[in-house]
Amino acid sequence: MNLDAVTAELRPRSAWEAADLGVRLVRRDAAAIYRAWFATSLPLLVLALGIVYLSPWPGLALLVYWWLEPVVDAPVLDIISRRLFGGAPEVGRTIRSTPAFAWRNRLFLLTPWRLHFARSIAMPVTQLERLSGSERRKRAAVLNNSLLNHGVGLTVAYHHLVAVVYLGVLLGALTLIPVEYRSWSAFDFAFSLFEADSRHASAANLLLFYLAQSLLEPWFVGAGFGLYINCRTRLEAWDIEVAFRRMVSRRAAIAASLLIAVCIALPAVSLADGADADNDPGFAGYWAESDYAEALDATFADEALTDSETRMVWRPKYEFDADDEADTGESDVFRVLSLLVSYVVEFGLWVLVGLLALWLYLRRDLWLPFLARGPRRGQPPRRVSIAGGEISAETLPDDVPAAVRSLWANGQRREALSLLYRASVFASVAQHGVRLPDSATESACLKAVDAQADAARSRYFRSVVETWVRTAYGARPPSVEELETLLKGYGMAFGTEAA
Amino acid sequence: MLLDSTHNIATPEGIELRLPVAGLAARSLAWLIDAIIKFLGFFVAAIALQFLGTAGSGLFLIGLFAMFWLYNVLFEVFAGGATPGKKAMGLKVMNSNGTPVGWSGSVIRNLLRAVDVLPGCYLLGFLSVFFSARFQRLGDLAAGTIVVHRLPERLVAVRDDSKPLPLNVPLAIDEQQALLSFAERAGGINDDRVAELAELLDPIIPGVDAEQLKRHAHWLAGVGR
Repeated sequence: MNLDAVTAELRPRSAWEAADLGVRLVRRDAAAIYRAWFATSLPLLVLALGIVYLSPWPGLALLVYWWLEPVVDAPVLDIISRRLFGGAPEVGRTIRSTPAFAWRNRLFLLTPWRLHFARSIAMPVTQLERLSGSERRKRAAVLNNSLLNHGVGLTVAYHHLVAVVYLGVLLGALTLIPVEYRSWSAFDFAFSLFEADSRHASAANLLLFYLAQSLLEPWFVGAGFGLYINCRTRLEAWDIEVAFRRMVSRRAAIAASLLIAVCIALPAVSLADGADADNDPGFAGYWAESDYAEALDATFADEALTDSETRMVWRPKYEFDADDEADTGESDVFRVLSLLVSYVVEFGLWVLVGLLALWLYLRRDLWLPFLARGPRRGQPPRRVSIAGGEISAETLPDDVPAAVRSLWANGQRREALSLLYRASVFASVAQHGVRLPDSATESACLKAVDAQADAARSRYFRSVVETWVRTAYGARPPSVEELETLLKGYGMAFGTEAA
Repeated sequence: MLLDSTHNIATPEGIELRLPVAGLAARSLAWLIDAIIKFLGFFVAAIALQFLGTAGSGLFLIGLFAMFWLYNVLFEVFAGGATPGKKAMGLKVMNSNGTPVGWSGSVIRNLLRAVDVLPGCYLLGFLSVFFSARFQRLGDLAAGTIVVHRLPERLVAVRDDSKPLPLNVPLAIDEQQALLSFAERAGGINDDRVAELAELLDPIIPGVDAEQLKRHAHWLAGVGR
């Protein structure tokens, strides 16, 4: 184990976060892991299929395959652990050592320990630490102390997820069969898979399980490995070791360069020793508890910290007793209660509907504009407020293009385009009934016009806004030709006298 | 670059937020707990409401509707982004930019549960979480939300009576943190291992032992400074 070369960020995590780190370890080397996985699991699948078709007990195949799972888990564990400590995944070597792994994990293959509820955290002990017998038991006890709950939880989650894939694929396939061709319900079909005598049904069942398990087994091994690594990181402070080693090597690097510098610059140097810290007057006696107590008392006695106030409230003098109604007929009590409840609920629902309608009415300003896309009927507003000021008919010249041209000729390019922009906004509002939010910015105006005006106008408006923004904020004014095109467009878009 | 379990976000203020995104194991167990709670709720309600006849079955249907569509949304919006199941598993829902999840995010992610559940037992949701980089199901992807591990509230636990000892070696922030972390966790680690760790720093602080290192950490923690 080489903590210098570790390739994941080690720190004490919450257990489930650590499991996710393990999953990420699997994801990082998914290609290598799945190559090793299929290389070892396919022979097992062939064996199981052989049992289905050649043996008298086809139903045994699933059990055999399931029992041999630890054999195929081992290569996954080998690759992620190797990679975590800086090695490269060597798929070929991993696959070749599968029998050796199987022997190391014999506890889970040959004994009832196969049914261990937290095998994902127990396997690293046999396979990676190569412990067995009483040593393994001691180690497992330490791990189980803090991990058993999570290991079991992980196993529960794993089996549920396998069921999700298994049933999900089954149901998905079933929904793809047209109704005319299937006489069973989905439920019947699923059951028939378990009950069918047909060897093909057993094989299909096995393949479905193999699919689900191929997807999830590396995930399960990775998550368990994450739990295991996190536990050891906590117990053995791996992260602190990494940090301390980094600290030393960082200083060694600095010291080396410093040494060279010193050798060049100075013939002799004496390093000052650190101050004798125990005699440091700044720390003498500060720990005395009595000092604290006095200071604390003084602080809390301060008026600013006494946090109390007097408050006057009304309270009923006598409790009103509401549960005073006598029971009516014995058998009718539920009927009456039921009627009462149903009236109350019905009434409550109508009140709810009324409140909803009222709320919608009060908030009509918010949603009405979204419904009414066309121009709004009624008097157009006389003034429009946008970000940076108000526009009204009085502040705009009668002949906008001419005014723009004269400003441009004066060299006031920014002002010229500002005028064009404001005039376009105002025209959109006044002539085409576009509704703007208050203090609309350029992009808000653009959005409103896009949504509420027709395509040609909104295209033109977009080009005006873009040119204005470029000039104002980007200091990149348009060329004279571009400006002329814009001004011509203004006449067409907003129907003033031809430019 | 070291592999980590977090999704990092750089804020405009130049701060890096590190959100520990939660994956399948914790999320599916949280779902299981919620499912059990809901089931118990139905069970109790069904028994209690059968005495009310048709009004009862009406109420039951309303409750069923509320459980299906509001249970997650209300808990996520009003209880810090976590349903009881998520809370039990130490999870919470967040927007993927690190802000608390609001109405629109929560409603979208829970409406799309109906898609995630297809073809009947969350297969699509499972595949989406399994393959997406930040462990998001389809509802999360649509709403721009993530599920994260809730970090435990951290308290600095350098609390012993050792006298603080100034350290005349300048330390970077991460190095100071390592030293503090050493002092905090030394109590939970095997003594031999603690001594071994302290020895690692011998080249920097000659002759250092675990006790001395703890006193340095105590000084760094700034108690009384």
